[in-house]
Parts: sequence; structure tokens; C-alpha cells
Amino acid sequence: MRWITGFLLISAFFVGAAWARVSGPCVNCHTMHNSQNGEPVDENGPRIYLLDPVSTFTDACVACHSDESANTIVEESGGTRIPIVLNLQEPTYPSDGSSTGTLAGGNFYWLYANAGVGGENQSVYGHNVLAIDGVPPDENLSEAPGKPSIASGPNCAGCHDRVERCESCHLPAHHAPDTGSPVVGKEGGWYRFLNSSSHPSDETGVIGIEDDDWEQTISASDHNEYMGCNNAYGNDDNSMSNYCAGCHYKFHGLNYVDTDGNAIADNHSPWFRHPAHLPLPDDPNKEYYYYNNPGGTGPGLYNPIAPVARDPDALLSMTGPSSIVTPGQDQVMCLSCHRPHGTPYPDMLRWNYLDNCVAGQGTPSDCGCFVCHTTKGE
Amino acid sequence: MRYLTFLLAFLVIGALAPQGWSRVQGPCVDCHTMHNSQNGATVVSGGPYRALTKGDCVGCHTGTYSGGNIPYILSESTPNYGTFGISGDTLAGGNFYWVASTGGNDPTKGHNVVYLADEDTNIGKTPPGWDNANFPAAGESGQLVAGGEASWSKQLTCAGKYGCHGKHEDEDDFRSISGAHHADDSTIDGSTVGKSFRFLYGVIGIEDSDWEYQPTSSEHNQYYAVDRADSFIDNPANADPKSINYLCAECHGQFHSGVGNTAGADDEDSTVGSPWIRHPSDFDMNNVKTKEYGAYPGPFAAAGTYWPAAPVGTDDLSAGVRSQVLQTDDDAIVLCISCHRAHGSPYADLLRWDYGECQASSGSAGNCGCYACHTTKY
Repeated sequence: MRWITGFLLISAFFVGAAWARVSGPCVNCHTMHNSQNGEPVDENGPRIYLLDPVSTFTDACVACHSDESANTIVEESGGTRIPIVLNLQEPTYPSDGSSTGTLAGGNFYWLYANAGVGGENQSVYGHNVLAIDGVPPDENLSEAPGKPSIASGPNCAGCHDRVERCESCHLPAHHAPDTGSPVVGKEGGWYRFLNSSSHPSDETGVIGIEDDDWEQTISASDHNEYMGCNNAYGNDDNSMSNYCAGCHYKFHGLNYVDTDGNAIADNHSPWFRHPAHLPLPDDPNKEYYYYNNPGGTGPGLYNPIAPVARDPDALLSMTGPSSIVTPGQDQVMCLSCHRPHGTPYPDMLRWNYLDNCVAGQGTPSDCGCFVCHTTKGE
Repeated sequence: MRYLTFLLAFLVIGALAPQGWSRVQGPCVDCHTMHNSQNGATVVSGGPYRALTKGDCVGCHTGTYSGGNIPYILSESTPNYGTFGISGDTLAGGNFYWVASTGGNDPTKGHNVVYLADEDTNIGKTPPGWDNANFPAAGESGQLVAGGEASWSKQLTCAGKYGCHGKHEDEDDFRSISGAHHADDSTIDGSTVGKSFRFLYGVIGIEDSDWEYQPTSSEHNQYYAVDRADSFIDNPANADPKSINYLCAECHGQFHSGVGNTAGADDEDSTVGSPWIRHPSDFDMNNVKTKEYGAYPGPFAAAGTYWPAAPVGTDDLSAGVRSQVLQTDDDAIVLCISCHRAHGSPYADLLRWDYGECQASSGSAGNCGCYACHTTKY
């Protein structure tokens, strides 16, 4: 009995949280000289880091993390698994747990499919990562919306005026040892490699718990866990939303800056901009208390369609994902509403805000806004 | 008494003989036959051979080494490679057995020397990475291997114009190596074939006295190499012809350097450096000592111990054979033969180990010598 109990305890410890560190035969990803049998291994090579990508995109990151099919995880022999963020066939959105389910960060498919087709809305479905062959600069934006004033130097444009490459947001660390605690931080190469490539610091790097299949399979108890903030003013604190604020600073937290660039007042209700990284109010008199449970008597279970971030102290001691949402502690964040790679919907929103969010109608499954705004639907 | 004195003197002289004399020793009859005739019969079939030898290169150097004056590089039965080739009867350069048509007959496991193997069915005659404009044969005034043919017209030989050993002006192996076996090689300075490391004209180094038969950290060849990071110039014209890596580059130049071929650095002022697009050679791991390379040889021995299974080079031979590396600049220079054995091995691409067994994040280094340098990848 004790053996069974021990085994179950060990298994529970690892459920839902697994190593993202690359594994499997080195030969799956690398070629030493880009030469085999007298021919190049990769016609577009040799590539940086001696990479041998799976597709023919020019950029090495894109070439590895893209696929011609709709499958969102590529499995190589020996156990190497590659998350796909650009499919050339439409993945399933939102993920239904199948092999084509869109991963947590979204998918560049919808941006790529519309890129170059003309019109004013071709770039609204994802970040315009210019390293993706065929993706043009955003036809509407000349800089990151809400860009902080400090990011105006000559070396800032590659990330803050446009997204030139994947490293504009990610600091690759594929072999970082993310073993041990399920919480991934500096030693593990940061949560999803999120830290500045140009000016990384121990404060800008994001901390979190990485779902073992990048949320291809998803449920209230099977998902990423994001770190909330310990300050709502956009100061770097290893939180997910403060990382977004690195480029979208003026959309964040309690900052409100008018069109002339003047800081007017703290951004409190009635809000000037949608709050991020502020806890759901612990007040039964407010609709947010009933997160994902409209008409209920308390908060519902974690809804991956509109995820929340965790209080930093709570996250650091978590052993895996939790289905519990705690008003007063768990926070709304940028990713509660957006997916950074892309979605089928404008502004990279997680749901169809234009068509499905109709006041007085609909449920959280129709419109993710109603997960928090529980009295605004039907 | 005089005889005893003479004997003692002889023994003292022998004891004082510096390590590394490759100058042929032993009874002349072991290698030579004056007329290839004895008791009315031929001494060696197929003869007579050049220089009155009892065979050509292959004939003389065929056997199983267990000590003695003749290094054997082709065994008639499966060699005892041991673990990583340092515990059996395989010598430093490897063994042609696995590529030989009389042995393993696998073109991927050795250099396809015409005297013992068929032409490589995958590659043909022209070496992969062949640069017919650069890397002239060391010390031969612009003489390129194979006469600089864009596509080689002849198969690889042991020595000569299409070979590795000796000079490269003449197609004839014997003329190209003439005088080397009996040369006074007490000083290896690359000035003649006999005074070159392993008769590789122009290359210098310290020769192990038994060709690395079961080498140890203190008993092994000491390879000469250079650190190109000092100047960060990737121009083949600046490559050091005394380096063992240069010998490889004479045929596989594009794998060594070349303006535009290895330009992958993200430093705008350099044309080499991380992120590498081909595996580096002639670069010193002391430059990246704070990274995983500082723990060489990783799981295989105490940090800093020279590991002959994944050898490294130095640009300072005055210190003799090094048993400790990463002690001073330019004592841990990556070589082509850090990973390959020039004659052959049991593994594809003449690798010292089976690269297909290299599993990232497996928790076990196993039989993967890559982890001697990439110490955090397993």
C-alpha cells in the first residue's frame, strides 16, 4: 500500500508540469557542417547554432517552429517534441485537445494567411514578426501601441517599433535545465524563454509554470500558470503582464497618459484603459467575484479561455496548475484576453469580440469577456 | 667490463630518447626485401614494392597493434575499438577496417583510400566541403591538394597529390613520402615530411611514442592548433598551416573557414563566433570557460583533465604533453579530430562515437563524446 501511495504521490507531483528542456537525439535538430553524402542537409543552411530545421523558412526559429500541416506539436524520433507556432494549414481554435489544437501562445497562421492580401486589416491577427517570410510590417502601426517613451533610442526600434524577429520577445535557452521545481525562472531559461534579448535582466525575465504540451490539451486543471505582479505600475517584476508592458507600457496597470504624454492620474475605476495585473476584487457585490460562474454563489473553476495570473508569492510555492480561482489574489492580465502569436480574431483576442460579445446575450463560452464580466451576458 | 659499460650506455641513451621518435626502428628485414625472393619463392605476393618494402603503405601498415614498431591502421579482423577508441587496439588516427572493402565496407566509416576501399558511393571522389581556391598544401608554395581540381578526378590516396601524408606535388605515394620513415624526427618542425607530425607535411605536434595505443591523460599525442578568436578574422589566407586543423582544411576547407561561409555571428564587427553556423575548429575553449565548456571533459573525468577520446590542441608545444587543460589560454583548442578519426571508426562520418546515441536531456552521457565539451546538454 505504501508503495502505491508513494507512486501516486510522485505521479501527482509531476502531473501537468513537465520539463520544457529540449530532449531527444541531438541529430534531430543539429547538423555540424550542413553536409551529408556530399550534399547540404539544409539547402538554406548553414544555420545559426548548427540548426537543421524542419521547414524551409529563412529564419531558423521560424523554420523549426513551423509546419506545413495543422499539427501543432511535431514529434521527432527519440522523443523530441517541437511546439509549432506557425502552421500552414489552419489549426483548431480553441484547442480541442487534438493534435491540431492551437497552443497557448496562439498561432501565426491567421496573420500569415492574410499577409500581403491587401486591405487595412491584414495584420490584425498576430504580431507582425518580420522574420517570417512574407509577413509585411503592420500597415496601421509604426510602433508598438502604448510604447514607453524610454524605448525611443536608436537601438530600440527592432523590438519596440516593430517585431523584427522572434528574439524581439524571446531569449532562446533550449538546453537550460528547467528540472526540479515546476516553477521556471532564470535557471530554467525563464518561462517560455521570455526575457529581453537586447537588455535581459533578472527582473524582466518572466517566471511561471509551463504546461507540458503547451496547452494543446487543456482544462481547468491542465494549463500554464502565469505570474502576477507585485506592482501595478509596470515596473519589472518577473510578471507576465509587465513583460508585455515592456512594449505596451501605456496599456498597462495604473498608468494613464493622455494624448499629450502627460500623466494625468492613476487609472482607477472608471477605468481609462482595461486593467491588467490587478486582482479580481474580493467583493461578492461585484460581478468579478463570480469569475466563470455567472449567477453562481462564488467563483467558478479556472477557465483557460480567459486565464488569470497568480499572486507572486502563491505561484512560487505552487507544485502544478490549479483549477481554483481566488478573488483578491488572482489577477487579470494581458493574456486574459490576448494570445501573443495570433488568433483568428482581430487584435489577437482570444475570442470573437466583434460578433459574440453582445451585452445581455451569451455566456462565457460565447464571449470570454463574460468570464469576468459575469453580469454582462445573458 | 667494457661490454657492460657499453650496454649501460646504450640503455641510458635509450632511456633518454625523447617521447615521440617515430623514426622507424627495429630490424630492417621486418620491412625490406632486397629482391623479393627467398628460397626460390617470392617474399611478398604482389611485389616487388617500391623502396624495397614488403608491401605498399597498406601492406606494411596492416595488422593488429599490441605494441611494437609498426603502427597498424588496417586490421584484418574487427578491431577492438573499446569505449571511445581509447581502451582497445585502435590507434590515434583510427582504423580503416570499417570502410575497407575487405572489412566493414561502409563508405561512411572511413576515408575511402583507393588501395583499400571503393569510391564513396554517396560522395564520389570530391571531399565534402572542398574549397579549391584556398588552403594550399602547407609549405608547398601554393600547391593545392588534387591540383586544385574543382571536382577530383582521382580517388583519395595515402599520400601525394590526392592524399593526406607527404607532399602533394606528385601523385606517387612513395615519392611523396620518400625519406620520411628514416628521417631524424627528434625535432618536429614541419620543415620536411619526416619532421612533420605523422608525416603530414607542414603540421607540427608531439607524437605519442606508441601512436596512442590505449592513451591516458598524460600519454597521448599533443596536437598543435591555434585560436582564431584572437583576431576574429575568418579569412582562410590567415589560417595557420602548422595546425592539425589546417591539414583537414586542405580538403574540407569550407568546414574550417571562409569569408561568407561561416559568417553567422550576431556581432556586426566579426565574421565568426556564436551563433555558429558550422561547428568551430581552431577556437580555444578558454574563451568560453565560464560556460559549459569550462567543465571539459564533463562526465568523463575530473574537470580540466585532458581526455584523449575528445582531444584538444594547444599553440604552445613547449609545455610538452598536457595532462591538464583549461589552465592557461590556448591550451584547449577545438580540433576537427576532437570528434573525428581520420582513418576510420565504427561510426558514421568517421566520428569517434555514435552521434545517433547522443540524447539531449536524457540524464546520461552514455557513449556520447559531445558531452565532453557540451557538458550541460545531457
